[in-house]
Amino acid sequence: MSNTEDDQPDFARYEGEFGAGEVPVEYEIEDTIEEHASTAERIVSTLKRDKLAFLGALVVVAFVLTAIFAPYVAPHGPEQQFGFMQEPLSESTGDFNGDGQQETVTHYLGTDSFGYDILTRIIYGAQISLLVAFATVAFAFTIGTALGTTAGFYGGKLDSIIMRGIDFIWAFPTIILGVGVIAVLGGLGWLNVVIAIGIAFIDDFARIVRGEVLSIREEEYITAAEAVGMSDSRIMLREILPNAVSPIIVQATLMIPLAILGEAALSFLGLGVKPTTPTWGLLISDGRQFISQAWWISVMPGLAIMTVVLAFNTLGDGLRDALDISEQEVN
Amino acid sequence: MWRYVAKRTAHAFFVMWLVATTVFVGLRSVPGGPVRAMLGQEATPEAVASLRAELGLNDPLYVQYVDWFASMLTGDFGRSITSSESVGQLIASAAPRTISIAALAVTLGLAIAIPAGIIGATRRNQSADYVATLGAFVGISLPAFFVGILLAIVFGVWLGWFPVVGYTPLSEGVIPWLRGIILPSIAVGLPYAAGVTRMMRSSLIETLNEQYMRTAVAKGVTSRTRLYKHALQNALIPVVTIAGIQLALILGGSVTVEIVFGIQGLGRVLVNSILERNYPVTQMTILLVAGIFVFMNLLVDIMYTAIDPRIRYGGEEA
Amino acid sequence: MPTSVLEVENLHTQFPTDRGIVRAVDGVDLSIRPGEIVGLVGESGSGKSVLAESILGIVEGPGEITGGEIQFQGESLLNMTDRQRQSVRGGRMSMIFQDPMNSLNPTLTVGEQIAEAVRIHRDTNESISFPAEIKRKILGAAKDKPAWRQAINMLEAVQIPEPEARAADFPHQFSGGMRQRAMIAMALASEPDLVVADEPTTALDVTIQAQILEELENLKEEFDTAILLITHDLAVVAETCDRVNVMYAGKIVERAETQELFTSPEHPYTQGLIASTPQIENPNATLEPIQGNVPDLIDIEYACHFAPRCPEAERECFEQTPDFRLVGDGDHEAACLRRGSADDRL
Repeated sequence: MSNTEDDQPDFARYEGEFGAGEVPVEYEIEDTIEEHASTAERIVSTLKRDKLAFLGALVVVAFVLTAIFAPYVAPHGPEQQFGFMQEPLSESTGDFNGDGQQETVTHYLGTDSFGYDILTRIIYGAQISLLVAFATVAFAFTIGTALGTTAGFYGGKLDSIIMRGIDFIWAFPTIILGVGVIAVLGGLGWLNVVIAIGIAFIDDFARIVRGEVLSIREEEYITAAEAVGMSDSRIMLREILPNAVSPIIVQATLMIPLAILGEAALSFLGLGVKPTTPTWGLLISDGRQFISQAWWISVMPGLAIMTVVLAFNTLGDGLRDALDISEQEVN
Repeated sequence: MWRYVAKRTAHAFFVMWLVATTVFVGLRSVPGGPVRAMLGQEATPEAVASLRAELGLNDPLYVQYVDWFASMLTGDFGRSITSSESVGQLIASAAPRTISIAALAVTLGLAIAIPAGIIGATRRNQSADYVATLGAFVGISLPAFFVGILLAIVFGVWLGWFPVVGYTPLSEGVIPWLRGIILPSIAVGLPYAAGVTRMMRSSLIETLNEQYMRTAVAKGVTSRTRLYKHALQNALIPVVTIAGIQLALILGGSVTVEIVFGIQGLGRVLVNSILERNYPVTQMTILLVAGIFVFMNLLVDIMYTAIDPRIRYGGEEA
Repeated sequence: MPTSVLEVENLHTQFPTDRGIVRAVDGVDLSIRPGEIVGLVGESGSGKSVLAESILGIVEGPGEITGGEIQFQGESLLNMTDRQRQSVRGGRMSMIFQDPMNSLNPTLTVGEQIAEAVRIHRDTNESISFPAEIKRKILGAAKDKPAWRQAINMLEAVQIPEPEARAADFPHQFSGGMRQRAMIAMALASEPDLVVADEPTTALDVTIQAQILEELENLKEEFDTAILLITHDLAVVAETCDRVNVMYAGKIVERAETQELFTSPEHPYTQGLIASTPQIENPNATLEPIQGNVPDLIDIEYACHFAPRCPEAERECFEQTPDFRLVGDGDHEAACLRRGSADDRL
């Protein structure tokens, strides 16, 4: 400011009826405080708003229930035989439940080359797919979290080595990696599949957890815990992990469909679970040679995969929006 | 910029070395020993011993390691257990098929994804956007081999436009070659395109909100020019990243799609070799596939120099 | 009175939100004569940036101008078609943005970004059709054409060394101060009659600030441009402006010639503003901050927007809209019921 001869002009010459900060009663404004919604509340409100995510949630729930209660939901037994390669919506007549009387049943999705009812096989397949997918995600989660916490907590060289190694694995095509691991493990079976696909997913969990650890590590309550003498692993488990819950939930939701796709691919190639289990990938593979005569054998299980994976994807996407997580963190 | 390219190339070589070493270790970690696994339970001790010797498995580990790399660099990839043709020959006939499909898949995929993403971003919440977004969602939910089966059924069996099985080499004509690979390429390219579309759309939306776009409006630049001259290049930068990451889908998809269409590409060779425990073939095929993958990623890295001036021209000077 | 370059009358710009209507510009009058530098002072939340955007016609949806009039060189801007507006924008009227880091396009050379303005708004016989622009994007601009030459001239005018080489550089290769100069060059390349500068020095170091301000003054002299200088920094205003408008919560509360405003501020808000700013001549003076916070611009129901924080407020201040009264010397007006008299107006 320039050229003031006086010390300071004379401000606020006199006090008015309402001084600074005072307002006549009728003009008072209420302060609205924004409420902080909990994670659960945010999820529920998103589901109400985002119709696609809601639909996805419904399908996911239906899928899980079907998988759990498969024997009760399925119309027939998985290895009960009817006529070969019957078209969808065709019927079979015979005594199928051993009560001496003839019934007519409808094969809504047709039968396959072994004469099995496809709808039944798909329902039982849901069980396997879900189990394997969960196991895979659990496997990746456990190892990924362990690695990520260690890397983030200790930092430095250990961090570098671990994360480099993980990134290297992650960049690879899942199927190629899976195939390679199966080659080394030398055999079929669902456990091998879990390991083969799970290895490719470790990276995502490790990254998320490491990120959380890094951002929380400097917080005061960690220093306090250390000062009190809490062991490192206790600190990691009790203080750090609970904060990472949101992105982990989203990641798991988005990872299950990938696990289903991965297992389906391996099974389709004949490198997955043992040949007679009705996993969806195997069902598609069974029908491949018959696509000119009986297209439904391959198409039906494929549609099942598509529906379930789509549902998980829309749900996961919706959750990600709900919990406000950027696409950089979880993808 | 050249420092960047050199760095990325060195990194690529490093990764390949890492992969080769992993394959080396992996092969020798097969439970029960690779030779036993390859020859089966009924193998005679003499057969086992002779194969061991032939594969050099009796030498100390570091000798094996050096020999391993030496033989690869000289082009000796070993022999197939089951057919006694050289692995090199097997791969040489299979590779062009996989590469054709992968290349066409990427091209088709990008040709669809980038315009679709642009439309989605510029016509947000209109019907074109819904179609593009929904399509992308469905696309990432479909396994490539299933798309292949659907395409085979509709266009091969029902309409009869394209062959469902087999591959025609380029040497026999461009049209037959294309007819043979178009369905598998679409099958492989569709899930890929879906992922790229989503990124293109969201990246463009974000770019259009940047400050420098407001500057362009304030200068009086027309909207079409703003989109293509000012916004697009910026929006493409993260898209190149995703396009690179998603190449994994292309390779993974090729493996399964080859089975669907009965094409003797690297995927088929790989799977068969595992089922037959034909480890010399397995290890080389994995190495080659990894090599293609690393090379494709290197190309993507180099593409950054073309697209992002900050990489091409380094940092601040003044 | 010479014809104004810009006459803003009773302008209203509003944003509809979930919680109500935000009246960012709530009845603003402003005038700028050719060749003068007019300051617009306000804190963040005062609506000054929205006012700038309204004048340029680049208010972002869902915001819109809901009332009033903007006359630019005698023509009504609000009655123009989009196309006409677009041709004025960047040509006879241009804008300098606040953040030089993010206001320049990272994928176009600095020279091209300046040349573009020239091509669009001046007679250069260079095509700006869509195919021509794409060709220019891919192959780079033609260096021997008039637009590029003009870009180099402008870079020279803003004192950027080695302008020919610098024009082919990308923004990330420039330092912060150079970037802001480039923005100024871009705004002045079309030889506008009015430049709206929104916080042109806020993002810069103090030493660079001084240089930039000097630059603006020189350019005003050289090109005879009027400038609307928007800032929250009183020092900047005191340094460069001929006249000053003080803005608070969507309304102008006081206006005067610069010297007059700083020696005899009249409106309680202006007084408070000056009292809370450190002065180098009075290092020991007590600083008195203004009590309270800038109001939420949603549905303010009381008449004088400053009343809740004003130490002199009376009941009528909440009920009767304060009009402008003549105070002090010259064209000095303050919108306050406690100043001047209702009969004393311009």
